[in-house]
Amino acid sequence: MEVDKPERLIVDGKRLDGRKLDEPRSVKMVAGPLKRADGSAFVEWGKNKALASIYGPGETHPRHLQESDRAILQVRYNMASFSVEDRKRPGPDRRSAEISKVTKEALEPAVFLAEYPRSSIEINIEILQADAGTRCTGINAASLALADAGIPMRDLVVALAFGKIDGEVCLDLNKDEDNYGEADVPVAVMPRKKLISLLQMDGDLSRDEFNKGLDMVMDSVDRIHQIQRDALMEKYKRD
Amino acid sequence: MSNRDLVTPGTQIGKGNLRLREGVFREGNEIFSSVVGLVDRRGNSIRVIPLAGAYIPNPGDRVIAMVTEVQFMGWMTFLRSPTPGILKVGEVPQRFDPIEGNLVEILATGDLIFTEVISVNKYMQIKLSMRDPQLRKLMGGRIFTIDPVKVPRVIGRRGSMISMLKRAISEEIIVGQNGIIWARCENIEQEELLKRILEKIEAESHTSGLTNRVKEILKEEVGSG
Amino acid sequence: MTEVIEEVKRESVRNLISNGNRPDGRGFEEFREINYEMDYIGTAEGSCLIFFGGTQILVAVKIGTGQPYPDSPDKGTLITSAELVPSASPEVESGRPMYNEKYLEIARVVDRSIRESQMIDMEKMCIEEGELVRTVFVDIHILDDLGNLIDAATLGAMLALRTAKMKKYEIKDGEPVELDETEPLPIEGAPISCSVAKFVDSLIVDPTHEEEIAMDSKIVIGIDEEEHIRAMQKSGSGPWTVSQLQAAIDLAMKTVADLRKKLKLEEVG
Repeated sequence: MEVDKPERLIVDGKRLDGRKLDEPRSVKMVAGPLKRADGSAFVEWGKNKALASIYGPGETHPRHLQESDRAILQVRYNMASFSVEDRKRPGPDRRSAEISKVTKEALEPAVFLAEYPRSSIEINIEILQADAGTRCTGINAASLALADAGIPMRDLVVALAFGKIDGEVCLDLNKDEDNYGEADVPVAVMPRKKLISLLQMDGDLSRDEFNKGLDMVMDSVDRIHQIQRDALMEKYKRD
Repeated sequence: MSNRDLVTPGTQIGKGNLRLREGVFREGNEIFSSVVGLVDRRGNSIRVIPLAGAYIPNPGDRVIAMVTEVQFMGWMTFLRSPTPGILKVGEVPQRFDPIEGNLVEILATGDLIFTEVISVNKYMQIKLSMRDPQLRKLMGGRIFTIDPVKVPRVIGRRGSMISMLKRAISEEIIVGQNGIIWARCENIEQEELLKRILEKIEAESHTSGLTNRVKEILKEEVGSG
Repeated sequence: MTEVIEEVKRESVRNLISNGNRPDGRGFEEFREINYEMDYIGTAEGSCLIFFGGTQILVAVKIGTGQPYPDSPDKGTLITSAELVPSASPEVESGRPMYNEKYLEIARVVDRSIRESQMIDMEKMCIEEGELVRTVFVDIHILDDLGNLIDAATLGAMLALRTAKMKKYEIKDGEPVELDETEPLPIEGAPISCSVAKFVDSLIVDPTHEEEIAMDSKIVIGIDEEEHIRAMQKSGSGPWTVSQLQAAIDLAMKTVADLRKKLKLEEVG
């Protein structure tokens, strides 16, 4: 499906969807929406919709993957076939395999894995609707689901991307911006000490542009962290 | 950070040389929560009572509780919820003379009871009752715990799982909504079998065909299912 | 048993590095000796056998033709894959499926380095718009894994692409016809990547296999001739502070600049 590139992605300092350059999309998070999983979370980020579920800690399958002194995380990131405009063939592909790997590495430092030797914690991330930034949405949901499951953690994990469009560094690109933009940099951060647990980049950025984008992300981390905390506490409040 | 505050993982809740109990960890001189739960600081120890896996009470729930304290005109009980359940002497069927009577004669610390939640207020203060004739003190037997979220699996669709267990192992099995299960069996082997099956149900609660697999195990072990 | 040995090795490497030394005696900012041989495989359109110290990778470029993707009818296509030859590492025998994700990551990171740097002018790889375009296959064959596969594969791919020759096409009577003459690929630019591994607060470049097992994690940084950042990938689970990240980028920039001088890429391709 051919779409013509819009002439400009930024007009009068605002993006086509009305956002400022350093403004993330609207976010809604719910902890524990599923009844059968040990932990779960649903995150709506702009038009992205991600559902994360946790099973475990439990036995490791296959057995030979287990570690004698700690639990392992087995992450499966999957995009539903109907999640994108042009229906995607169902099932894992190379992209989802890579995203599963980097998601696992983004969450591992936050979890007290040594509490559950030889076990496995299964993390499933299902992208129900995609609009660029799905891996960040998925990480936000998975981190919330882990806490929802009662798995001990050093910190929650917050994920957010920055990029470049029309030569300007911007926060949180949506699909159109990502298609026509010049760079995309997803980042995951453990908010308490601002430790980076995921970082990927492709495109073209000068050192200054990279630094500017990273600052934008760091400035928004605390706000998103608060949304995660509110979602967890909401579940246990009574009105 | 004060007691009973609801916290999330990574939240700082204290400093210094406190004795660490569950749900907390130390980094340098600071102490943080590792789970979603309620801060519980007593003397020089600190913990966070995890809410995941805890029982969140609803009026009408029938639960199994343990008496932890005999108080003024009633008893305090533990039912795996963030706050204790309170049973007032007016809510038990026995008549009680406040001048001559001794509450311990009705229920003592350590007693197990099958009781009902009658109200929960916004501070999660839980009121219990034992007026209904089915509710009673439980004598002997043994208790098992499972995640309260998995209780429906132990009961099964239209009671199919629990009736199977009662037929095969012991008629005297009571499943509390709070994930505490009481059973009185004829011998230790039956208790161990029940324990194994409950563990299996808990671990495989999200799979299908579980009832059949349990049926097979019961057939093998007991010759009936 | 191998787990215990691995753990002991891991500890000893970490101790060495915390004392300012590396197992092979290199400086923290020193790359191993890089050697390469071009046109190693006659049956491929381009190829490069590359050594980073003991790491040995054969990158072959095959150029085919095919249909373009529907949303880019006037552009050639690129497919990058990485495979580990069983002789290269004992991990293959043990059947641990983890190794799949490791080699998949290599393919995808190298692919992005090539693609995002736009080093191949894909519009010039179009033969007949909407009908026939060139498909570039970059196959990374890992022969001996002694660490830092991504940097070696990226450089090998870059060199193979720069020296590859493809058959020319001409449109005769409205039909594309393959000629016997060859021409080089429309290449511009030469992204080079530098992997920086972290051990607590120490940073080293070009980690060996032993160092990769012992490290907290690493960041691969792809840099072009204008010193712009073209690719980044954190790999492994140890997290980074912002200042450690900035130090790693500084180190990568400096190392890549040195490498460019040493390799004299203008003379290649």
